[in-house]
Amino acid sequence: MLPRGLKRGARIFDRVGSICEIAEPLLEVDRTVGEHAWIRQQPHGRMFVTRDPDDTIYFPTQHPRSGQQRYNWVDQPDGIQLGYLKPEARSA
Amino acid sequence: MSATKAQINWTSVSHGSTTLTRVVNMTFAQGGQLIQFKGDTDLYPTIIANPTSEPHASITTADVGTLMGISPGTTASLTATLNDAKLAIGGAVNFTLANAVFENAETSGAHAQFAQVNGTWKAFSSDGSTNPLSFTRS
Repeated sequence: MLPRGLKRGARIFDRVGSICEIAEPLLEVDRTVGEHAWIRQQPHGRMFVTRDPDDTIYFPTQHPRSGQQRYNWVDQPDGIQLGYLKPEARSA
Repeated sequence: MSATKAQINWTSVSHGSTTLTRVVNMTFAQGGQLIQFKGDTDLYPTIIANPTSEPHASITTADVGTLMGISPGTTASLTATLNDAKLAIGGAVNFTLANAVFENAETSGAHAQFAQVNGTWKAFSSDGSTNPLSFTRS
C-alpha cells in the first residue's frame, strides 16, 4: 500500500511509472517475463499495488473470513505499508 | 526511442478469452459519485463526499459480430493497452478492469458508413473494498 503522494509527473505515463519504479522492486516484479505492478487507487490517498490485478485487500465477500485482511501490514517510515500475504489467503 | 509520454490508440483489448479488435474508442471510468450537503442558511455546499464508486468501461468498435456475441452478464477481466503515441517500447499504459460484467451491446449502422457497436461493462469488487480498476506500465 503506497501513499498517493509518491506519484510524480503530470502525465499518466509518468504517474504510473513513478509508482511502478517504487513498487516493482518491492514486489520482485520481473518485467522480462511479463510481470507487472498493478496499481489501484483506494480511498484516503492510498494505492494498493500487487502483481495480480485480481488481488484483493480483504477476503472475498463469499469467503468464510469475509471482511478480514488477507495481508499482515507492516508500516514503513516513508508511509509505505508492506503487506505480507497470510498463508490462509493464498487460495482466497 | 524514449517514450513520448502521450498515448494514442488501443490495442490488446480483451474480455476474458474474447479478443476485441477494430477499436475506435474506449473508455475506462473510475465511477466516483458525489453527494453534497447544504443546511440551515448555506447557499453553497459545505460538504462533498464520495460515498460510492462504480467503475465501468465502454468501447466502440467495428467488430460487431464479436461484441454482439458476448452475453449480457458475462463476467471476466477486461484488459486493454493504451499505446505510446510513437509506439516507443515501454511507453504504453495497461488497464485491467477485474470482475467486468458485460452489460450491453448496441449496434448501429448508417447508410454508406461502417457499422459500429457500443459495448458497456460494469465491475464489482470481490471484497467490496478493493478497486477493480488497475493500471500499470508496459
